[in-house]
Amino acid sequence: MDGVLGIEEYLVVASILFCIGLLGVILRRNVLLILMCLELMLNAVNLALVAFARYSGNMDGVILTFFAITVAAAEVAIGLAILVALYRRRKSIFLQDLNLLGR
Amino acid sequence: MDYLTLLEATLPDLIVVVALFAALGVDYGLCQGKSPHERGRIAGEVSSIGLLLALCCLAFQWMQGSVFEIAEGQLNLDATGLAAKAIVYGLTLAVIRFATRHCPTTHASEYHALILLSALGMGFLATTENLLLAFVALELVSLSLYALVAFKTSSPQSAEAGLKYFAFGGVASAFFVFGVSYLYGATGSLDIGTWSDWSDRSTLFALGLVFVLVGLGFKVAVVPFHLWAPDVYQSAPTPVAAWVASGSKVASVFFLVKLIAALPPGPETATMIFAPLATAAIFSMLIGNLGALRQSNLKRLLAYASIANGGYLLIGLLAGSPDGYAASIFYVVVYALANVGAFGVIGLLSDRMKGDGRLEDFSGSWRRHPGLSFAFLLFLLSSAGIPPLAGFVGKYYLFYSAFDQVEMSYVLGELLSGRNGWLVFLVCLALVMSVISLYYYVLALKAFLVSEDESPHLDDDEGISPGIKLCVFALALLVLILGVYPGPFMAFLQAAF
Repeated sequence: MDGVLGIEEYLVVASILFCIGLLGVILRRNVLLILMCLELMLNAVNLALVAFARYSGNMDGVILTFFAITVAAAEVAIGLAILVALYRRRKSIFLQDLNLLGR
Repeated sequence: MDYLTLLEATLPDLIVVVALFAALGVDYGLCQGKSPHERGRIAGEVSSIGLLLALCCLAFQWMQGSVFEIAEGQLNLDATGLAAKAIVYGLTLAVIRFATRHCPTTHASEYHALILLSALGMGFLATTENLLLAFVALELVSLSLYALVAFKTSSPQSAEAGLKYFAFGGVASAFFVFGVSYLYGATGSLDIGTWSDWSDRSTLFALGLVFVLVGLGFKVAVVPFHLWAPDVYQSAPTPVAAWVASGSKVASVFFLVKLIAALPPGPETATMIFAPLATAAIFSMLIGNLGALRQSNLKRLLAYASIANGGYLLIGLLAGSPDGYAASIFYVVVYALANVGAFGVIGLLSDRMKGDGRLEDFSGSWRRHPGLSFAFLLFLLSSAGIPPLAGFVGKYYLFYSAFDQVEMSYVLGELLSGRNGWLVFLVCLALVMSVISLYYYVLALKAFLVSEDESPHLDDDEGISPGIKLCVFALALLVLILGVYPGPFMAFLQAAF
């Protein structure tokens, strides 16, 4: 590897992205933004996987990345479907309006 | 690996896939003019036939003594793997029978197809030793279950529960795959079978393992990843609640046990995950059991009970011996049988009463449905751990396997220090909590058995098809048999590790 970047840099960026996504999921009130933050978490994983694959010379990680991308797309599809079903009933996509449970 | 072997090994799964498409195809091709109820019944029959064929195929492979190992642990179909699949498909069959009675929307065939799809995922999750396949299988299970939980589109609660399940599940699967990436980075392989000959235990490995456990902990609903459970169990269609509580737990525990059994030997590994797992077990038992005490809705009560059961399960994993692993699997299977049965009965009865499952809705069920109520009694008493039912034997094996690992010492300080101390404390807490759990189980049973109304005894089972009753009684019989005669099954599980 004659590049300037070592694997640590990639991992740090991946961890930061993952944490931003996690914080977003926890703090955001808008379900659409929560979906986007979930995507961010999965993409952070992809970055880490590709970095590991590059530095270990073993291609399994890259293959897993493709699966992760596909799964992420499917997950968003399901998430949006649930959100649409919910919006039809409640006319809102904000978490503070979703309070029917637990009674 | 040639394709013929692959075909032969995955034949049961292929049958399920065919059944899935047949259910959809028959519904869309031939049944469009029929009523939703009729379409649901046909889709259910097609799915059941597929599952029965798959079970026959598994039995055949079992009798032939087939052992398939495909692509270095991608699929590991030895006797245990076949048994795991058979258990998952058997549970699916029961759930499909319950689901056939009443479809929450007009999309009857999709309902059954999604249940079959998640069953496929569970089958693969229970038999794989590869992190990639585990991830894909886990997602197949999760994505189908998100859709199923939100399936009752007429009810806003169902969609809300679906969203909650989705949000928690999405985070959990992100953690899972993040953990997988770290484990891959640390070991250079996605195959957990290679861990044992790998000696470098880095921080990367430990972190990755903890993240993967977070992802699985969500599926098993252990504290602190349990928040979705009560809402999902309460608001999802009842057969789906049964399915979330049974199938996905069984499959995840199978994989969890495989993961922990594959850890590189040595004290470092043990200490690495021991404390977090033990803490999760303690809080699951506390929050699950104490939370269940103040529930007035039967499904929520069972949800908290399932959180508590997640805590008990971990004790077997913490014992870290083959006996402990076998005990965990035995317990989760028994728990799943009882839970599918209990939710099945709840679904059958609450459909008729138009209630949403509050305890008082069930008052006097004993008079109207003596047979079903008796089965429900068996399921609940088994979960509470009353001998001679299977739940008691399961708990006995779990606690015994943990005590077996305690190094006996007559010095109290030695007995209660470090790992020993944790195990002793866990078992004592579990015993106390089992006693407490008796209270809420009996409370639920009281609702069934006692009623104010003194109307004459009437048997009101009409409209409940004999097939479904047969299914409930078969589950009850299994719970009884595994309690009275657990030896062979337990010996079989112990031989696997």
